[in-house]
Amino acid sequence: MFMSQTRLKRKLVTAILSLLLVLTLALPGSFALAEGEKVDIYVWHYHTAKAEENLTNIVNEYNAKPDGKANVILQTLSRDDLKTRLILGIASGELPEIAVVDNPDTAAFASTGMFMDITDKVSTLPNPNFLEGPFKSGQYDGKQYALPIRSNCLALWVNNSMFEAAGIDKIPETWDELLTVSGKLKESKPSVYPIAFSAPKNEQATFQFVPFLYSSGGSWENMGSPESIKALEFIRKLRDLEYCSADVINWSQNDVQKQFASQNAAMMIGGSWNIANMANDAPDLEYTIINIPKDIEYASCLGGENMAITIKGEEKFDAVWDFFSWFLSAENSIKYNKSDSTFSPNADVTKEDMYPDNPVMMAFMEQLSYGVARGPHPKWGEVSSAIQEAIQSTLAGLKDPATAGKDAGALIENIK
Amino acid sequence: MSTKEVTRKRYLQTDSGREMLAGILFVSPALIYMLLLIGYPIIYNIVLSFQDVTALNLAAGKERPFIGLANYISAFNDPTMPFALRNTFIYTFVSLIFQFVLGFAFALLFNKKFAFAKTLRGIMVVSWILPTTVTAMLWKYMLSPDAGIIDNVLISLGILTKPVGWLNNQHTALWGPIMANIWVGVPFNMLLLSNGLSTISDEVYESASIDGASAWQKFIHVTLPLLKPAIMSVLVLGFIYTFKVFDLIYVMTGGGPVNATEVLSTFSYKLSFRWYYFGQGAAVANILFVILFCVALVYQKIISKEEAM
Repeated sequence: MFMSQTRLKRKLVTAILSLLLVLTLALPGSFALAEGEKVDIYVWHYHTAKAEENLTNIVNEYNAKPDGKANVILQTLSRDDLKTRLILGIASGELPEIAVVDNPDTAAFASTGMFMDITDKVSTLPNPNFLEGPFKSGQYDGKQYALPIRSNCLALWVNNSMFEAAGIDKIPETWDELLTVSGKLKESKPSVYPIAFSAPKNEQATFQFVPFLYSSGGSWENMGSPESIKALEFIRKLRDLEYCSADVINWSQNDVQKQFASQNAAMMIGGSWNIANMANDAPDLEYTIINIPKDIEYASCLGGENMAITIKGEEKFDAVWDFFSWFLSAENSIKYNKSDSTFSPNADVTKEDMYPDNPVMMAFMEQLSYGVARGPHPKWGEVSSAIQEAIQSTLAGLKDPATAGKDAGALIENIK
Repeated sequence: MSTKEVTRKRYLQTDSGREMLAGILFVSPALIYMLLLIGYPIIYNIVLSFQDVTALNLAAGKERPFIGLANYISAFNDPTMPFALRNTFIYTFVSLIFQFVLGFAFALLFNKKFAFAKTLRGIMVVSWILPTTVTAMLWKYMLSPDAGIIDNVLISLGILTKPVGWLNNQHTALWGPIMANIWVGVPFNMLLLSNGLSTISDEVYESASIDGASAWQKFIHVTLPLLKPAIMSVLVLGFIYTFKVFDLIYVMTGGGPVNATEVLSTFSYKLSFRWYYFGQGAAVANILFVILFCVALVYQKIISKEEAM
C-alpha cells in the first residue's frame, strides 16, 4: 500500500515536471511566430487623461504607416513611478526603448548612463532646430541626450467677474499692483482668497516660485542674494496679508486649479495645460491670461517634456530613430502640442502655425518668451529640495525670508 | 559502491529516512521562496548601504566602491535625520496608544450581546479596508483650514476662534497623519482583540462572579491575563505597521512643511529616488529594518516563553 502510493506520487511529479518542461520549451517558439516585420518599441510616459489620448492618436497614426519600421507601444506610468522605474531599470536592465521625462530630471537621468548620446544624430532630423532653453535641458556634460517635445510655462489667470465686482479696471503689471489689486479683491469678497499658487514639498513649489525668483533678479545659483530674498519676502507678504490660503504649502497645481475653478480664488498661477480641465470643471467661468506681475522684469518658468532614447533603444536604433525623427518633425510636433494646449519647442514652428486667433494661447506664448529653464543640473532634485525648503519655511513662518534664502544658498553651494 | 554510499542509500530507504526527505521537500518551496524574495533584497540592501552608489554608478556592471560606514555617518549627520527619527517614534507610540485603547474599548463594547452589535462591528471595519491613499486624501481635505470639516466644527463649537490649519503648521502637522492612522488602526485592534475575547469562555467569568469579583476585578484578573497573547500580537503588529508608515505621510504632507512630518521611510525614499544617493537611502532603510527586527525578536521571545508555559 505504502509503496504503491509513493509510486503514484512519483509518477505525478514526473508528469508535472515534464509538462513544465514542454511548456517552457514551447513558449519561446510561439512568441517567435507572433513577431512580424516591425520591431516592437516601448515608450514610457506620464501623460494622463486628454494628453494621453492625444499621444495615443499620434502613435496610432505612426503604427498605421505602411513604411514605419517600428511598432510603438505606449506605457503610462505616474510621474513619480516613471522616475523610480527608470532608476530601477538602470540597475536591473528593464528599460523601455524610449522615455518621456520632465525637463529638469533629464540631466540626472543622463548622468546614470541610461540614455543614448545623440549629439551626432540631431542634424539628421527633418527639423533639427530647437528653442535654446528647451534644447539645453536635454544636455549633460556637453552632450545631447534628449530632445524637447513640448514646452509650457506659467501665467496669471484672472477671474473676470471678480475683478469687475471689485472695481478693478487695470490688470496688475507689477508686484505692487498685484498687492493693491489683491487688497481690493479681499475687500470686495472677504471669503475669497485673492490669489492661489502651489508650494508643496515637491518640484511643483520650485516651478511656481521661479517666476518670482527671476523677476526680482534672483536665481537658483544665488538663493542667498538680496534679489532672491526679495522674492521670498514677496510670497511671505502674500501670506501675511492673507491674500493666499495658508494651505498653499499643501496644494498641488491641480488643487490650485480646482480652487480657481470653484471660485475660491480670484487669481491663480497656472499653465496652459489647465485649460482643458477648467473648461470641464467650470465651463461658464470667464478668465483672462496675463503675465505674472513683475518686480524688475517679467519672468515665467519653463516646463515641458524631453524624449530620450535609452541604451536599450540604442540596440534597435534603426527602428527607434525612425519613430523618434517622425515624432519630432515640425508637422507632428504641431499636431501633438496643439491638441494639448502646449507649445512646440521646435524653432521651425512659428506662432502662427500653433495658435492663430487664440488670445488665451497667445498670452501664454508671450509668457513663454520670458520662460526660465530649471537647471540643467544632474543634482537638480537636491537643488530643488533646498529651494522648496526655503519656500516652505518662509510661508510657514519657520524662518524669516533672509535666513531661509541664505540657508538654501549655503545648501546649494555645497551641491554645486 | 563505498560503504558510506550504501549506508546513505539504506538510510533513505528506512521509514525515518523517507520522512526526513519528505520533510525537506515540503519545506523547500517555502525556504526557496523566502531566500529569493525576502532574503535576497534584504542582503542586497545591506550590501548597498556599505557602498558608494549614486546616479553615476547605479548601472549594472559599474564599479561600486566599498566605503564602510560612511553612508550611515552621512545619514546621521543629515539635518533631516533627527526629525525623521523623532517623528517616526512619536508617530508610532501616539498612534499605538490611542489605537489600542480605543480598539480595546470597542472590542469590549461589541463583545456585549446587544442588537446590531455584529453589524456595527462590521461597519467599523470600513476605515481599515479603505485604500490608504483614499484615507490620506480624505483626512487632508477634512483638515484643510479653508473648507475642512474639522476646523469648522471646532470653530462652531466655540473651541477655536480661527482655523488651525493642521497640516500647514509645523507644530500640528504630524497630528494629521497620526489622527488618520488612529482612525485606520482602531478597527484592526478591535478585530484582533474581539477574536481574543471570544475565546474566553463565559464559565470563567461566571466562576469569578460566584467568587464575588467586581466587573473591574474581572477585567484585571480574568480578561487581561487570558487576552495577553492577543494583546501582544496586536501591539507588535501595530508597531510594525505604524513604524514603517509611508503612503499616508507621502500623500498628506510629503514630509512637510519643511521637515515637520518627515519619517524614516520618506527620508529614505527622498535620498534614493529624489536625490539618487542610493547607498545612503539603503542605510536609512536598514536603520528602520534593524529597529523593526529588534521588536520582532522581542515578540518571538515573549511568544516562545508563553508557549513553554
